[in-house]
Amino acid sequence: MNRRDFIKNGLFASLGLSMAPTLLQSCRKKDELLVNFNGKVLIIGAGSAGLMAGYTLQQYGIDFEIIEASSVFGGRVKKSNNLADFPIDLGAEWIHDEPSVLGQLINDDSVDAKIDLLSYQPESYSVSSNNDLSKLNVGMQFYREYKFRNSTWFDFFEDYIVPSIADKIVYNQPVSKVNYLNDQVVVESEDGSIFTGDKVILTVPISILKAENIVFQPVLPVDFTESLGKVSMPPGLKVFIKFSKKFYPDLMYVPTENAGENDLKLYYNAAFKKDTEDHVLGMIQVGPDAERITSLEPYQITDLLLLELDKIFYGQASEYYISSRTQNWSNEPYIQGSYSFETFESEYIEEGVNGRLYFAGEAYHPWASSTVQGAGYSGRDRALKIIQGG
Amino acid sequence: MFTSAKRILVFFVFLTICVYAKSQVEETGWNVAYYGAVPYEVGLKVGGYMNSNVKAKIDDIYRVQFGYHSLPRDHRTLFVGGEKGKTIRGAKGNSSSIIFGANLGLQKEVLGFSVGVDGRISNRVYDNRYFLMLATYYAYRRHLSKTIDIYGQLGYGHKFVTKEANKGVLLLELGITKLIKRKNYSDE
Ligand SMILES: Cc1cc2nc3c(=O)[nH]c(=O)nc-3n(C[C@H](O)[C@H](O)[C@H](O)COP(=O)(O)OP(=O)(O)OC[C@H]3O[C@@H](n4cnc5c(N)ncnc54)[C@H](O)[C@@H]3O)c2cc1C
Repeated sequence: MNRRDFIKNGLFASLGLSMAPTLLQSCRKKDELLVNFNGKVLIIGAGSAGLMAGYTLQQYGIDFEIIEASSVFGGRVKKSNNLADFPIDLGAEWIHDEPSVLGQLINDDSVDAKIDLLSYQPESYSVSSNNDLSKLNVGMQFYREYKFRNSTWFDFFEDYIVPSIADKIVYNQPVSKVNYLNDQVVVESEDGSIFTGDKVILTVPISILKAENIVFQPVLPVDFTESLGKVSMPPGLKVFIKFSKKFYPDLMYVPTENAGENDLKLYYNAAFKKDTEDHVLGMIQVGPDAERITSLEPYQITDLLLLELDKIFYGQASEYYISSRTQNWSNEPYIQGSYSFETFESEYIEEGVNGRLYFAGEAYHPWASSTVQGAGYSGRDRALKIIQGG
Repeated sequence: MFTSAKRILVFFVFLTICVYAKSQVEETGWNVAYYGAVPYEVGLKVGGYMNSNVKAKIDDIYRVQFGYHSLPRDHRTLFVGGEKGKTIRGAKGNSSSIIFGANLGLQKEVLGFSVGVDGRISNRVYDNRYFLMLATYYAYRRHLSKTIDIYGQLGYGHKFVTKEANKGVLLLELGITKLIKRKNYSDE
């Protein structure tokens, strides 16, 4: 049945007056959809996907509640204000898309946003191997992305997405059970709190699903768990080191000892084009080989990195070191890793399980997986699916 | 964008190259080209073209050019430069040459900008950088008609820039030359 048939046959025929469809003439959202749902949606997780799902439902006036395990929203979007005189993205940092993606996420013409960005095309690039630094300032013209200039991904959500849905987020409620057997979905958190709704959108990282931290009733379909097994979410962390002098290039690739093709370790000038006099070197390591470093304490990680940098830069790292901040994503109890390395493919992603349980998050987006916007789009897509009758 | 002092400098560079080439000129013309540091940067290069035949079949090409290229939201670059080329293979109607060039330029680097909900870009914050770029190109030229040549050249340029690290760029130029005076190839 196409959308037009659905409107003509499915909707008017099968729904009573109380569920009569409304074509919302909203001045806020850009798209106009036929609303064919007036129940309540439970959203599990307040990361990009969960927040965007809630924001979309809010735009259509649908009742919802976001249940978050930790005490903050954002998930893998997180910031630090303490290390330098500019805010630092501890998780997602780059905008792996055109700047217009931000407006597409806001999706509201009435918002007068002027978001300051910088064009990220590093000016100096080196590769270090066996402590030898080779300058490779050629070819960086083939690469360009964007970053927030004086703010972060977290600020983006805090300023534009969260304000309209803040009172719908419940914090410190790690969900442990999801019962979607009957018409009413029942979600239970670790302290025994019960939440009920008509549909549920689960946006927890796939690592949480794999760790079976949440019990489903009925159990998830075999096809679904098989697909889940094919997606990996390896360990990962970010470290920011503040120095009194910039002695490093804008981008430096340092292959790890046991690096496979899925391993990434990059040092980068986190203050590049930022409005600051501070010198902050970022380090991101993601992949199977990050296991060793993510099992260390933050002070051990800093020592290890300073040692590595000292060898490459003849002791300058220790000489100019001021302070550091480690964000170990593998140790976050409700994240447990970095991001998915494969896209989750399953018929249940689009359609949901039993028409009540939906999945959203970075792992599920077909062409922008592992990104903030990919997670956000998948949250929005699931919300729109429900709005249109599931 | 340019102050008077820079305009005068540009004029003198142009004049010097013209005067140097004048005595031996076999061909003269004007060039218009798409010019950019591949793959994103797009720009335009215009200038004068001269070809002086020093030895038979070996052409010395001189070009003096002004150009502009930009990587939207990243930088805008205005430059003036000269190029000298040697034809390495030539037949009637087409030729390949190796070209050496030097550009002096101003790079207006975009430090930041704002994006609106509609995707519109505004409030660009610029920082000026100056550079000298030395470049080598491989060029292929084809005579389309008595007065029109088309050419393509691919090169490597090394940029010495103020306020940022020196770097290498890959350059692409696709152009058309309108000849005012055509060399008589049947003489060779
Ligand atoms: C080191 C690193 C660097 C990255 N860099 C970039 C980048 O530069 N650009 C980019 O676009 N992307 C980047 N990413 C990826 C990006 O951060 C993610 O794709 C995106 O933020 C994921 O959003 P999400 O909503 O799918 O999941 P999350 O943000 O993980 O949100 C899931 C939420 O579910 C909550 N939760 C978990 N378990 C439960 C439970 N039992 N009950 C209730 N709530 C629960 C969590 O607390 C969390 O808030 C990076 C990620 C990492 C780790």
